[in-house]
Amino acid sequence: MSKRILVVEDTENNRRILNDLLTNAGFEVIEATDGEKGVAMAAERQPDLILMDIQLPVVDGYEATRRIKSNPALRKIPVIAVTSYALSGDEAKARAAGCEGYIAKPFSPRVILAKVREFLS
Amino acid sequence: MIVLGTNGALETWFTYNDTIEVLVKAQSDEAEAAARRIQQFVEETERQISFATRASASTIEQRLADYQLLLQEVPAIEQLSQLDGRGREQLMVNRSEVVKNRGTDYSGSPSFTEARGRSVWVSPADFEGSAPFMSIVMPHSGLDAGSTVAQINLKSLPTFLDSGQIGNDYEAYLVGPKGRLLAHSNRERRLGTSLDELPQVRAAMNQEGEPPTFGLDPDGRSVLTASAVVPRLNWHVFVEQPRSTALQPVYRVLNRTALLAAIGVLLAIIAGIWLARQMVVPIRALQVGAQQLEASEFGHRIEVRSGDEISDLADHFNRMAEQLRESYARLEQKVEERTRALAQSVSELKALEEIGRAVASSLDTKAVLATIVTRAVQLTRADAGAIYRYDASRKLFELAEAHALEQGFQDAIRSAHIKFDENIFGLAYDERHAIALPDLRQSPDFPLRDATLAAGFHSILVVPLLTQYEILGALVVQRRSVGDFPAGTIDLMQTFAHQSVLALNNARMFLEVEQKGRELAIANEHKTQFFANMSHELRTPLNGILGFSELLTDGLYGKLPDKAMEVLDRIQKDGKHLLGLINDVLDISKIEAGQLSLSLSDYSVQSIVDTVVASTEALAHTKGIEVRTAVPPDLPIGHGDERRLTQVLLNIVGNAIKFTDTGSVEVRVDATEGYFKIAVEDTGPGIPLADQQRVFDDFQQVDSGITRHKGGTGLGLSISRRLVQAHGGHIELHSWQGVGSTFNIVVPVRVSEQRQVA
Repeated sequence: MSKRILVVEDTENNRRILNDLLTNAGFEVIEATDGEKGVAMAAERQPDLILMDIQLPVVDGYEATRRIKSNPALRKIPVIAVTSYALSGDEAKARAAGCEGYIAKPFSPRVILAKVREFLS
Repeated sequence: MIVLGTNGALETWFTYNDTIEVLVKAQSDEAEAAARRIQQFVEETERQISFATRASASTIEQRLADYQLLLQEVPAIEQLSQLDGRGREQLMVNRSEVVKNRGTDYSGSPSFTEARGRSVWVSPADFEGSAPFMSIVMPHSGLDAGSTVAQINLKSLPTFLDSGQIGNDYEAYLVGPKGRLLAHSNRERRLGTSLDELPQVRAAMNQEGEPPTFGLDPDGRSVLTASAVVPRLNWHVFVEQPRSTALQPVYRVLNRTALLAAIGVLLAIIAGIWLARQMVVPIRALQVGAQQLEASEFGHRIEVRSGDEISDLADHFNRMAEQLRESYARLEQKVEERTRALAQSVSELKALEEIGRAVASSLDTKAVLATIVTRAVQLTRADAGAIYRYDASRKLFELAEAHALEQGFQDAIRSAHIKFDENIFGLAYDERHAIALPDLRQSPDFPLRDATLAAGFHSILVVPLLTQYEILGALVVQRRSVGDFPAGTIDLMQTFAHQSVLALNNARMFLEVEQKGRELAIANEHKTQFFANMSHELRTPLNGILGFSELLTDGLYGKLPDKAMEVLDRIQKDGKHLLGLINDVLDISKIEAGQLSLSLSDYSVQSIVDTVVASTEALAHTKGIEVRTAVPPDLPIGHGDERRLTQVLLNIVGNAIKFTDTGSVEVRVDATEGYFKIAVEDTGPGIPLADQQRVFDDFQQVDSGITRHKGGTGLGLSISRRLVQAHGGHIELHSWQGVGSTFNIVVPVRVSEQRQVA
């Protein structure tokens, strides 16, 4: 059974890249377009890993991660933050919110794939 | 005193010597006399015995009769014996018995043996107990005729020692053979004792040189002594007196001398006191006077009435003191005048300083003008004052600040609408200097003149507040009294006016600068925000471009022809370049907005170098440039922003590779004194000296042609320098054209806090 990955991302192109990349690599990909939906989707579908964009409408990635991590049923799901370049302290903030991994944008699909495999191996 | 002392000592010495000499002479005479008397006594006794025995007595009876007669006549004879020619006693007579023909043999005794062949023999004195005696042996005439032995009692000897003197001051005694005491004028002395231990006795018996003048008595006291010898008997008569008694006259002289000396000293003291009164007291008075002068007590006068040089000197002193007192008084008066002038200057300066400070530091124009008008009134000793501002748009003067002006008068001024051209302010502006009206009642009419008079002011001074081109207002002080304003006051007011102009100008400029500053800050903030938003907005599509091309390259959407792959590679390169440009612009705008902050954590220089070498490997390989590294294995763990330091090194190494066409690039690291030094050395074209500073400026590349050729924003070094500065470090550049360039990145091993950079 293939692993399920939740991609929370508001930009359509990015969702498409991640979906194509991960599906091609044999993962099941589910998508959400804002933070609130991401939290709901995580609770509903229980993914094995979450790729979380930080700059999201409605509820941003930090807050969404905090909510997921405060839910005992979801706490164990690893969350990789995907954030914009050059905002100092982003990584620290992501880790403080509970993210286990951190990738800066613009991302390289190869780097994403390596990171995802690192968590799901 | 010394003379007195010497004189006394000499006199005492001579007296002593004379006294001793006289006394010894007297004692010597006494001794001689006593010796003669004793000699006479012995000779007389001998003569008596001789006389009694010379008559030839043929029978014992006759002899007995002679002997008895002799005993009667000479009390000193105790006993008489007749010895026959062989030394046997034929007869012995004394005052109690007569023994005849006893026949006792004396042939062995000295009385017999010593006397034989002599006309007379006197035995040495001997003692029976303490009673001295001696024998006189007189041989009878005729062969073996025998001899008469007379035993002589010597207890009468003391009588020969006596004389008028002896017994009072003197003591006399007689010493026989072996130093035994035969007689003493003091009858309590025990006779027979040996005195040969006394120095004078021993000297006399041994007949050594001059007899000593001083000896000892048996009690050990020192005595003055003189002696004489009784020749035949070899007895010695001593006449002595205690030294203390003997020296009585000397002591008397000594006492007298001491008394004289004491009197002399007393006289000297009296003379001294007299001299002191005559000399020292005036000199002391002079000294006290001099001290008083020294202590600036010029009122002190020296009182000396001795009429000599000292009193002349005192008069000089007094005259000098008087002159000094006068000069001091004049000096003090001058000092007082100067002090008053200085105090005025000081208070003027203080006021100016206060105003200057207020002008320089305070943007509160109202407070500054209030200070100026208050000080102006105080320093010119006026009664009230005011500052007016000129409103150029309405051509009206308005009251800005007032000091000591009644509220009613102020209201009157405010409602008066003082126009420029009908006022003395306008006149002052036209003439460009102060206008003084010493008596308002005499002056031409102008608005507020009557109101001013009504408020009780009779003279005013108006100073225009002028810049080079315009009038800003006027400073006015007014007095209740009538009279001219001194030139000094007018000058001072001019100065105050200048300060007021400065204050008004400053205030205006401060206001403008503040306004501009605020606008600038807002604009800058907008710019930063704009850049931040823009870069985010620009990056989002770029993420799509780069992401999709990578997926295409990786064949996710099917295999592409080589030509398409080559084009895809170009798209990716341009996309990455664009991303770099966007990132650089964002960095610069953040730095300029002061929003760049370091994310501090521990890092390894080795890993930074490795990352950079890995990232630039492809480019270096393409250009055929060798990249060498020299990183010591024992470097300390650093503390700083690893990502930013990687960015800096990547920029510099990237530049080095980019600008070097042949040769190599070397990265060397070492750590000394708490700093890492990362040197990046290339064999590129080098940077001209004139451009070496400029390369760190924004948007600067040495040659814009090169920029086009090599790519890059021209922001990289500028950003790198600021990032290193934010770590508390710096970048050094050494470059020689045609040889190459070396960039040294120097950063603290451990950064404790971020520095503000610009």
